[in-house]
Amino acid sequence: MTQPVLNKDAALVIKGLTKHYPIPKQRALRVALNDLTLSVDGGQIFGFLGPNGAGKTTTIKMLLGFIRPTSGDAWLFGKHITDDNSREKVGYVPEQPYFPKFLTALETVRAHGVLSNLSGREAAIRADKALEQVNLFDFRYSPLSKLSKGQTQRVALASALIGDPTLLILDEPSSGLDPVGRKELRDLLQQLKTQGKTIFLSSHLLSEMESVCDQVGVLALGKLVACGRPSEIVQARDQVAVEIEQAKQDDVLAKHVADWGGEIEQSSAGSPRLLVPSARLDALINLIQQGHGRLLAVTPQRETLEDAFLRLVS
Amino acid sequence: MNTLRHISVIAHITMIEGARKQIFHVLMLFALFLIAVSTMLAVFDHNVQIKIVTDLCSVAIMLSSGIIAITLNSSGTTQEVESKTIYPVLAKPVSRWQFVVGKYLGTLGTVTIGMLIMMAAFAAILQCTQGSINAKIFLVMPYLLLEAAILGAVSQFFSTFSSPPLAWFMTIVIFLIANFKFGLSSYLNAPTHDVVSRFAGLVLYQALPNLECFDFKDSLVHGLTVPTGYLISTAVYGIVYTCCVLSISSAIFARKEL
Repeated sequence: MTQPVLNKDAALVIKGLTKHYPIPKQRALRVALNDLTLSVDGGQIFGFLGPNGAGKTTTIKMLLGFIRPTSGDAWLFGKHITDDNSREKVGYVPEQPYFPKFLTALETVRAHGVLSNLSGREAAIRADKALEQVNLFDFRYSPLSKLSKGQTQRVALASALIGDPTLLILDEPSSGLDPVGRKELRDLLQQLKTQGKTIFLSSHLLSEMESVCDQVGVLALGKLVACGRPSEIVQARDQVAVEIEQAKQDDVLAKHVADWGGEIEQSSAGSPRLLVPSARLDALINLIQQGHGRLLAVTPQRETLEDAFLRLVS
Repeated sequence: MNTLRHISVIAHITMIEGARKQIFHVLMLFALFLIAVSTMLAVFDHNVQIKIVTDLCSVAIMLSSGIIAITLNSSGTTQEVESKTIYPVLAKPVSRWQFVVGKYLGTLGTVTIGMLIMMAAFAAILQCTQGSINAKIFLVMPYLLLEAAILGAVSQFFSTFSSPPLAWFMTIVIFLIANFKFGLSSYLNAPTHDVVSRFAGLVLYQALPNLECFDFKDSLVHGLTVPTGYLISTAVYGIVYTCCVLSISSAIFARKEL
């Protein structure tokens, strides 16, 4: 894979970031992240993909200063991550919302407003707006102990948004959200993008990533194995799927499909689905019209982000 | 300005959290029980009774506030790391030292709340037994608080690199040693020890807090005069020692992997 070109004016720049952890009771080191280099331009939604243990959360922890890199550097808006002020324009939503349970939603968001360098009065005004933005205004006086996981996740999102951050770092933000909540989150991310915010999104939900991300980076075993636009990462498949109806199995058709390098699979409805190269589509249709079945549907095939992800991490 | 805001919001949340903890309620009840029990010593002569009540109450307040400060500080920071509630806070432009100081001041706020309640109970008991209250007695409160502040800072220092039970135990040991510092000095400087041992003893002696210098509290409680210069120097010592310990704790915590 070619190394991404680093843009010094980018919202987020990572250069050669590496993290080793000592393995307990062994004189060995585990490589959690290996020489990660990438940059995220302002106003983009960047999807950070990888299986469990790939190093996504380790990367986020280093960006936020929770842990120190073994080697390498990173900058947020030109400020090195060791500078506390580098997080001035950053909003963070962790995978699990961690807040003192005795605080109400409003108190939590307001406290985070003050921690985001807002004055007490400004934080109070913006807390209401942030809770409205995540559809939790009616629960503002509820203690977090009484809120569901999804609602607490919204509190985390409101707490991240209250400081009007330019960069949002979201670690599995849709975990705990129901389908409606996920749809709302997707819409909110698009809305934030139109406001010019940069979003660094780590998620397992690849279908969601494909629909919202401008760029994606795929991490496997601590190494960046692909980085670019989703359309650049998925491989073009010069293939069509032809669904037909047949009274009985047809050996002639099966032989032709095999000769063309295609394959036959069963569709969900139980009818045969013929996967053949696009160049053989006319010949296949002619064959079907000669009495080898009835044509139901023709669909061009393309690799999904999920297919690409599985290909890259396997 | 932002620094003060960060510290105050962390301290505020910590103070509420501390005041909600069961250990705080238990220790408060224990102290109030001791203060109430002291009135049952009516078998003694009136003057003796007042002295016993005053001694018992001041010891109850000192012990309870000290143990509250040690207990809350020994677990506070570690608990935040273990429950991961520290992540959303440090993801903001908040320095690690601001977090340490905020947690510490919040705990001190909880101790102050407890101390105010205990002092109110003490004042009520004095009013009942004596018929009047000598306002000079309340001069002791800042020094009791300062003593608790030192113990809290030491406890937080240990909690930055050890488990809460170990931090609690080590602070209690230091509390006991620090109350007999003069005796320790005499022992360490004994001519039978070699130069290295004496030097190590001198370092240890200087590093340990000197809680013996707070012993004038009894004099204050009983209305005796304590030189103002001594009161000021003790206060300065307590504040400077606490600041030094907090600085070391912050430096250690800043290097900690979370």
